[in-house]
Amino acid sequence: MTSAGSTTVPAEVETPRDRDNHDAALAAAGDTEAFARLVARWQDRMLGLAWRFCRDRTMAEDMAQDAFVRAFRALPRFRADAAFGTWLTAIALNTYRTALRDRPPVPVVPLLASHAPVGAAGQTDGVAQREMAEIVRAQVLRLPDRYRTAMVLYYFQEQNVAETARILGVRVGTLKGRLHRGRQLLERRLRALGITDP
Amino acid sequence: MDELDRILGADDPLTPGSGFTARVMTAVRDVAAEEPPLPFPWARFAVGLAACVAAAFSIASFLSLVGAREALQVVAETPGVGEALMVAAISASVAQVFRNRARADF
Repeated sequence: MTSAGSTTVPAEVETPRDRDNHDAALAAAGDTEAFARLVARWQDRMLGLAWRFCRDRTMAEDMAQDAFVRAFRALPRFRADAAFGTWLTAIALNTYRTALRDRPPVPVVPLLASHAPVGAAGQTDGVAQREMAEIVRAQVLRLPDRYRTAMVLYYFQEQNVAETARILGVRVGTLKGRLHRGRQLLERRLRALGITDP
Repeated sequence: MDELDRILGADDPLTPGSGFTARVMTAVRDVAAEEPPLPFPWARFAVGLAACVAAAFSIASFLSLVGAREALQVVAETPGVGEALMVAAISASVAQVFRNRARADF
């Protein structure tokens, strides 16, 4: 199903988006080498997003692989006027949510600064900060799905509200509402755990 | 809560393990090698639908012309209709028995 001559990118294909759309068109026609180039360009992002949803390396790789396979199947329906990254992220998001639906939530690691290796004070502080960051992230994953998805994707997209809303297929106002309520709930739960100022 | 933004924004990146790309592409090539799904038989569906509509229209026209009671009477008095209905019922019953037995064997 591959075409050997299709790896040459035309001169007019210059921007990353153009390259993606060009390869997506080739892959939709069955060129798996073109899809391999898309995988190479997007695997870090897809894996990173999967990791943020499950914090389990093996599962993240399985979910990212599944997302790429689904994207390959769906390529004939990809419209070139959309950004490939947005489209792919939306597919990945649905894949990850489905995969995680029946999975138990990530356990909250207790704050054990006293168990940190003995060393300089700054080193101990660093360990405590990392543990606290893990607790905060685990609590985000324990939020109800609509808040969890909004928050994880929003921070993954470097707090770009418009792009996050586009991927989720909701209005910006709806997304802002979910982020606000999710954050309120998160702060309440963190306070209950004794974390008042992460 | 700027610290919360910092924590949630900064996360250790996960680099793909060795062989990740190869595994993905193996799965993708398997998908590409699959037979394409059978298309829905729209032409046959349209013919069948048209035949059903025509049959329903014919029956409705017949009933409106002669009346429902009279139509039933005509059907009942037509020679062979009773036997035909009985044969159809027996055939359907026998077919159902075989179908159930086949399912049980499977």
